[in-house]
Amino acid sequence: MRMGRRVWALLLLPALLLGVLSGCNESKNIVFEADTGAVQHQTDLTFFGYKYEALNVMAIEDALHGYMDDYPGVNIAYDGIKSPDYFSVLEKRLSTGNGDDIFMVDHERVLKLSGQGQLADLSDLSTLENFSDLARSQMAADGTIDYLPTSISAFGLYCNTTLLKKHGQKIPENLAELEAVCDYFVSQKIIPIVANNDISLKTVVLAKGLLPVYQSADPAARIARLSSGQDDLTQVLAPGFSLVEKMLRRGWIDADEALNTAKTKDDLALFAAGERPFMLTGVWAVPRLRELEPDFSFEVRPYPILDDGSVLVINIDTRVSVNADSPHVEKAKEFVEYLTQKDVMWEFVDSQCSFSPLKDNRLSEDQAIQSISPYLTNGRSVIGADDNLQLPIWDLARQCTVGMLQGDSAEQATARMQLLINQWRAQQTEVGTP
Amino acid sequence: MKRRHKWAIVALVLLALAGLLGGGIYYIAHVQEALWIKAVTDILEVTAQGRHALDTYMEKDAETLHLLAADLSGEDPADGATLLKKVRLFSESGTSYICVVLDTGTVYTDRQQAGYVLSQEQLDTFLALAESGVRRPFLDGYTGVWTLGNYERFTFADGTVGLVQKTRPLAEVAQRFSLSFYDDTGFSYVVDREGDILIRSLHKNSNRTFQNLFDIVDLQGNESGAVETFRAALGNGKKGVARFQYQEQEYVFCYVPLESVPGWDVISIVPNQVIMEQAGEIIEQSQILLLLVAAGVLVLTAFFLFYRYSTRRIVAAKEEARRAAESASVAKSRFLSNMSHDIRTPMNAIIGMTKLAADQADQPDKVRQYLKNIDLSGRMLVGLINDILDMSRIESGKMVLSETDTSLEELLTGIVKMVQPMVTEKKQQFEVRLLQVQHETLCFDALRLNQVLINLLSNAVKFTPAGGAITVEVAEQPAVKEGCARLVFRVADTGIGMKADFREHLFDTFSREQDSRVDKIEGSGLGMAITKMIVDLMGGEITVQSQPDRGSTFTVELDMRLPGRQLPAEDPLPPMRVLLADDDAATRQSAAAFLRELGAAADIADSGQAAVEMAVAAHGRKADYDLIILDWKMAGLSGIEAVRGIRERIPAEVPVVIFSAYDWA
Repeated sequence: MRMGRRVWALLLLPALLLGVLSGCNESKNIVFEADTGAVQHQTDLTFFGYKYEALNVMAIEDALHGYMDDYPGVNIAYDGIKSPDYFSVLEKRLSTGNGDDIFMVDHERVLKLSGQGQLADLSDLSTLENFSDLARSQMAADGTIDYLPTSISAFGLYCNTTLLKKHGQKIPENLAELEAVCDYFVSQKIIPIVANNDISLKTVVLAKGLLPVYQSADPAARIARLSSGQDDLTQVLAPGFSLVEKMLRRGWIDADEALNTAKTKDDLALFAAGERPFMLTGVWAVPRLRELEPDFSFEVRPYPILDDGSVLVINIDTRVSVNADSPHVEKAKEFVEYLTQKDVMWEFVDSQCSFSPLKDNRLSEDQAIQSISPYLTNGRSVIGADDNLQLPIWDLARQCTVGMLQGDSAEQATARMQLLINQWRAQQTEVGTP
Repeated sequence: MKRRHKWAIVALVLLALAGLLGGGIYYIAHVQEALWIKAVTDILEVTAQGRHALDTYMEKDAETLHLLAADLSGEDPADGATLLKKVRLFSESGTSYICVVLDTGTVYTDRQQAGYVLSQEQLDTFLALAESGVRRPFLDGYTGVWTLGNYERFTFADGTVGLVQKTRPLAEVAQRFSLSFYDDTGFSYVVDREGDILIRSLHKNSNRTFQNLFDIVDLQGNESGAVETFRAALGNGKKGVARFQYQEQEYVFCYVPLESVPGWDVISIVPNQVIMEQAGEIIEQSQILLLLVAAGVLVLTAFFLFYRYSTRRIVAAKEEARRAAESASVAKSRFLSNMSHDIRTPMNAIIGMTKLAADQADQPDKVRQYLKNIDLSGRMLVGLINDILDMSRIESGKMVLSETDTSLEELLTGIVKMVQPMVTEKKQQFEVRLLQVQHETLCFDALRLNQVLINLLSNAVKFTPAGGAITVEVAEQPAVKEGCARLVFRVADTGIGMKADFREHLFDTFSREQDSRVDKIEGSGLGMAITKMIVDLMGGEITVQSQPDRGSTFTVELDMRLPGRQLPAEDPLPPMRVLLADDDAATRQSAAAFLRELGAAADIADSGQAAVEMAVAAHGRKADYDLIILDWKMAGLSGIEAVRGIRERIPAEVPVVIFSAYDWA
């Protein structure tokens, strides 16, 4: 009996030890204390822009996260909508008090919103001094800094080198050569130029019309006179409208097709199909064209629309403004300052196939666009939407060229331009802005 | 056999370790996988709960909207004021209600004071909405902000079809329902079946710009097959988990379909690394456990092998001790036997001779002879007893070396004096050569070294027949030990030599070769044992080379300390030319080297005749030697004859010295 108890005790001891060691019967009550650390107040910023496609927004994404890493107390969201819808939405938001803290603007919106006092003054940003003279001449056109540009975009003639070679044609270097190549393709029942309903033809009008202004002895004075109405802008643009009329009349562009061709979407699809030798659009579309058709062989050239060569249309672009009514103006300005740092901006510029607006005027390294590089400084470029021209010429020219696609002659387009200018000036007089 | 056994043990241990490691790695991988599945299942569960909350929120809006629809369904669509009033009654902060009369396109909203007619494009949008549901986020036509809206069709009292819609800013919904995981490193979206992001999380890590989920996944270089599988699962309204690269790290995508809005999914995106961080601790502990077990196996194996080795060593030591004891016992017996024999023999001789002398006391010549024999036996007995005492002292450690600065020359001279009579008696040739000895005075125990050399030489004399040769060479070599010189003593004879099997026991006590020639020679068999012990005591080494009938050579190597006070170096000789002649090559070379060391230009000749010719030739060149040294005994022309020849042919009085190594008398 005594032995039996010992045996049982010996058998139970290891089991008891195991139980104690493994904690199988241990009750637990773990209480987590509330975090008593200082609660960091977070600022939420919103950034509204017209860059929305994945390829274009990667640089913005990096910039947003880079900024949040540098400023942990700020959370910034981005909302992207394709233009031109973007601008109407922007105006709705601003007018209903739902404006974002930071947003992208164009020339027309700068004129309009600046007049309404909705753009915060950015003249105290430290990155301002890094901008090139060209960029600064635009930014400071009205005496204040209402926006900072993040690129200088260019517009070019996309040339399908494979097709040109196939037909024994070469890339045109001047107007005569352009006429010859286009006429050749027309004779081959090929509509040579893909154009969209927005920027393709207005940039031709502006390039042809404004180059003499920029090449004059005192371009600033000429532009000032055009801006004030002392000189007739419509007459300046008339040669451009005439050239567009010629392009349509001689079948280089299909007007109906162009009317229904959305920029940087339908036009790219048409051109990437490989059956058309030329396309007129922004150089920023190069990455998208490559994504659409990786093996497509093409080059981008300035517009060969002069008797003695080509002309490059540029725009001080992707302008970023801060909402003057934002509850976080200073934080928003911090972000714009971050965005316009050299390295951060270069990533964006490179992704847009553009020129940097900073002093180095660096051009994106894509091989297909390198031929446009000299034109920024060789006196053969025009600014599509010059801030010193206090008219929304970019949009007015679009309306005129759309009219031409719908059947207007050059003369009618010139008349429409005059009408639109008059309406704008009248509107500005009504709201009391100069 | 033992070797094979050893390898088998090593192989077994390695196999066990490999098995343990393999099993451990499999176990850890399995645990890792299980933990990952557990973690993503938890995320999936949290995602499902988030989805449930959003569903409830949507359903609540739908219910409120349904109440409005029910309220309006009894009204006249033409009664704009009533419709507007009822719509405004539902108005609440942050939301907006509208009522659209689809037939007329008139809209009543809580933001306006009166109804207005929609554009056809706007009306078409509402006409496209069937029954009830949730609209994809859209830009509010009035505010321009992204908006989420529930809608429901209903019928007015007159059968006209109407539609009510409740909207709220998308940002508010996103703020309220965005899930976060693992300290805000994970976040969530609401997407449609095509991957379009409808409600975007505002968490720190979430993507802010891409509009489609697959832009996030596609642009990161993920494997297209996996992306397509994910796309198909999402498109089919499945619940699941996927893992993709995003911004150079792996992310886990957990997706759950919304119930209130068909075609929408809540998707949570969490860095895989973060998920595995929590599992990492368990994995780490498992790895430590595995390493501990492996280390334990190794330690146990080492312990086993060490124990085995120790046991074997103990057994071997015991065996060795047993053998040593046995050997000692045998040695003791043999010693006693030898002693009894070796002592009894001379004692018997003494007793016998004493008795004979007593018996023949009247014959003086005989008595003298007996006394002489008694003296011989007595000396033998004393020698034997001395040897035994020496051995006893050495073995008991009582023998202490007494090292003093002693002249090597004096030692060797003494030895020669002691050995010379025996050599002469046996008509043996005896030579002593000093080769390259730099230090004449060294610090050593002269008595014991003398004993060693005398033992070796007496054996050489004993075992070398008459007419044989005995040579002693002393050479100095650089010593490894600092402050010492290595002296090599080589005692060679042309005696009877030894057999190989005896050589192995040469230094054992009482060892004497079983040979008829040896038996006749007296000896205790202790001399070589004592010699070896003394050399060992001096830290030296003794070796022997011997072949039967070819003689023996004993070599003793000793490191001797240099004396504390160095004697001043002898002045070198003035510049002089010396002619040296000896027919023994070793002596010739050694002497010439010594002369050169002293600064003399030494020419050597291997015979007396050659010496004469060289001296004459030098005279002819008018370059007589300053000194001519000749060996006395040389084959052919002897030293004396050579002197005569030189004197006859060279008038000049060149000093000639004749040396002899044989005139020891």
